[in-house]
Amino acid sequence: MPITYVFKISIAIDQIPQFRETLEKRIQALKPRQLNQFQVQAVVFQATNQTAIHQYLHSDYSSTCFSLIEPSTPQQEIKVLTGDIGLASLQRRILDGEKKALQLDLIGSAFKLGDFQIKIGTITQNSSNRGLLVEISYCASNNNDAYGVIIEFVESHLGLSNSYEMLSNYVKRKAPTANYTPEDTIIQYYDHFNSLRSQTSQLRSQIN
Amino acid sequence: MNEYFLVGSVLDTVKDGFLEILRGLCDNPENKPIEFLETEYIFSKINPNGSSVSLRARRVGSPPDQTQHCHLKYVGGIDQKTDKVMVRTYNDCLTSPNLNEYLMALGFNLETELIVKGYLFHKGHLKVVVSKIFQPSSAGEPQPVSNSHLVEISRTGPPGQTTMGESVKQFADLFKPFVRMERVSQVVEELNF
Amino acid sequence: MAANVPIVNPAQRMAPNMMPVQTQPPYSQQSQAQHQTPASTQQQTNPPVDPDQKKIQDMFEAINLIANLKEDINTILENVGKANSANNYSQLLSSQKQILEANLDSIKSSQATNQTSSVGTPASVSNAYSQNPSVNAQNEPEQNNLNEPNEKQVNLNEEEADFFEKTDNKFMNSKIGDINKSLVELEKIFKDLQPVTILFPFQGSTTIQPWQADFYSVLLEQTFEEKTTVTSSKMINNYRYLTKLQENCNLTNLTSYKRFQQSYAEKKYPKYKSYNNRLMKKEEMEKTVSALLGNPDIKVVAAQKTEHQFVLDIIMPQNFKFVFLLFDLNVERLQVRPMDSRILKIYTSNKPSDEICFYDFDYKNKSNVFQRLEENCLFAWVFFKTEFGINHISNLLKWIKNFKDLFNAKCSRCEKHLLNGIPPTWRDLKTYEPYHDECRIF
Repeated sequence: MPITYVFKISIAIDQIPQFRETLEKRIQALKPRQLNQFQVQAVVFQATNQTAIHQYLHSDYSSTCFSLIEPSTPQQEIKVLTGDIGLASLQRRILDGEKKALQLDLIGSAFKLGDFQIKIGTITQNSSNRGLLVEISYCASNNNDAYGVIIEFVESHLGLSNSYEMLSNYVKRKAPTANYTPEDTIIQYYDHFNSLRSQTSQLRSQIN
Repeated sequence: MNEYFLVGSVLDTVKDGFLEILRGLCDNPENKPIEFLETEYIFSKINPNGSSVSLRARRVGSPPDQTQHCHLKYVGGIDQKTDKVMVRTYNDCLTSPNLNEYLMALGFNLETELIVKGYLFHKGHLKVVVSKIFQPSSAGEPQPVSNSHLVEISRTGPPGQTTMGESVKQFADLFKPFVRMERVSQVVEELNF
Repeated sequence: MAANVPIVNPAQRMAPNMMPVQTQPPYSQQSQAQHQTPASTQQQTNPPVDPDQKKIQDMFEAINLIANLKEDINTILENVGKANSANNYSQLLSSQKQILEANLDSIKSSQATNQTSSVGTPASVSNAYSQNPSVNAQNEPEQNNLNEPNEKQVNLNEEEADFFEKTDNKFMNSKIGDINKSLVELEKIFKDLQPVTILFPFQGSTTIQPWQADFYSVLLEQTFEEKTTVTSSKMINNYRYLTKLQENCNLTNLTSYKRFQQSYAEKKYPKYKSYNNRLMKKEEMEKTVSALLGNPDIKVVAAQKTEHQFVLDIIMPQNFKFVFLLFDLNVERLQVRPMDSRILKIYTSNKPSDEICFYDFDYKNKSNVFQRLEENCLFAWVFFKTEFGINHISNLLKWIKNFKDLFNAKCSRCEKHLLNGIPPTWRDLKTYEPYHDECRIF
């Protein structure tokens, strides 16, 4: 199972399309193999008694649905339930009476360069840009093996210098020899989406 | 999705003969029926607005065994309007083994725990299950609930399909001399009188 | 017999060389010596021409006789049990043995009396035979003794013939033993005549050994059979492995390694002779391999497919595995395959079963890293096989063990993880330092 790192590129919202284009140009210059468009959909069900459920659909795992419970305190472990696509329709039954709060979409292009898979996508909410994410997968399996290789790839081919800060806290905390699973990819998305939401809420509060 | 189904029961003493008849009636009579041993957990939760939800989680084997996946099922109330077969809404999916923790974290309570041991047959899209239900006890040996086996014929499909209900009814009629497949409400009525 | 000429006339060739010495102005003492020498050489060299020729002819005769003997023995072996024919043959044999021994005596005598000027002809052999009545006297009683039981047997009923066939067999065997003894003596005499055998004229430069071997194989057939069945399977195995190795060496097309092949091939060859096909068990294999690796993180799973064929999985903690196809402890093929982490989980929780352990001949790696690693392992395998012969597996495992840091090792030359998107997939064969394929030096 390949290891996947998701990098969040912190950049002003109005510069997102431009910067994404430059990143794609840098990758295109290496003559990669173009893959199909990729898509990640996150739906947040906000419960009344403070437990929110995040439902993730990823185009790489097209027949799988990930359901993630937001921990009440940050120290708690994040619980991810992986099920087949029927879980998406069953989610309504589980959360009878709880309303859909928010939907985030990530659409972007994917490339394959040697053993690396690079995905560059923009997060949109109600068709307005929110942020820019870069996902890189490699055939190694744990932090201990892949960290140096992936960081070197990002720095040399994408030209991003402060790559360590762009990783989510979850990756930094994870044990170096623990193997990566698709659930870990989803948790990284959750971390980044959550930070974006908190940013926007901060912005809103600042405007207000 | 809706489930069209009928239930009946057969005594333990005549179970073996009934299984032979089912082998003849269903697909692949040359093969032995599929045996299974599963543990079913029934979870329920009362929502803030007053309605209650119950979910059924199943895993292969009896409790101490480790499994690779679980089965999560939602069944609604029985629709009383139809006369031939019972109809209820039905949703299910396969999940990772941490299903119980997930449901507990969402505020569900574990109501009952049952061990189901039985045989599975299929005829086209029809599913026939002959199973015996046990109740796990602290002593170790699970206790049987009754001295008979539960027989269930079911088929899932989109709602409002009368032909599906008829196919279930027709197949159930083949069991007539041995097992009476009826709607649960009728059985309850007869028991009362 | 034209080849005789250069051998017959060594003295004649010497003569022209001596001539200038004769024509030189004579000093008093030297001239006397020189005048004496040509005369003495002529006396000494000319007579030996004939004994040499005689010896050779005698040898030729002896060989013909031996050939006859061989035919006789063959026919005897075919007709073992037929009393009458055997009787005849025993007579034939004994008479021919006498002739042979007489012949050999004559050879001995000719060796002893080199300087006699008698010309060696077949007639001389017959003369020698007539001149040695003592040999006949020794052999005749034997002949009589041998004939007695056969005469009795002729008088017996046909019903009892079967019984006596067996006894006759024994008798024939004892007779063959006698012949063998005499032949051993014959061979000793041949060995004494070494200078003649070296100058053996009609087979060019080849020595006498080929027909000797042939001779032996016929005589000692019964004893040889048992030995050959044991050794032939070993021989076939050895041969198979040598050819396989050569094939693999040719496949690699590496000029740098071809150098090793040429220089080491002759030296290392004897090691394959000590190849031991002791039967190994699966558990034994796992134990030895994990002892060689000496790392608890690396898991070893072996599956025994046939008596000698093993499939060995070496599962690295980085979610890939080396798959070896082994014949005992000889690597036949190897493969590098990535592994699903979920399978690895099953491996860690349960005891690994050998059902998952198999060699997929059609497998093709999707990722470049493992493809490159597999090629490098093939190169290393060929190197270790040519370098260390039968013990190559321990060295190969020692080398493979260093891939536990495949993804996080930096190339010791360019000090980077990646080059063309691939981490260092080469370890130095002696120092085990990581290198990129492009960075390593041959």
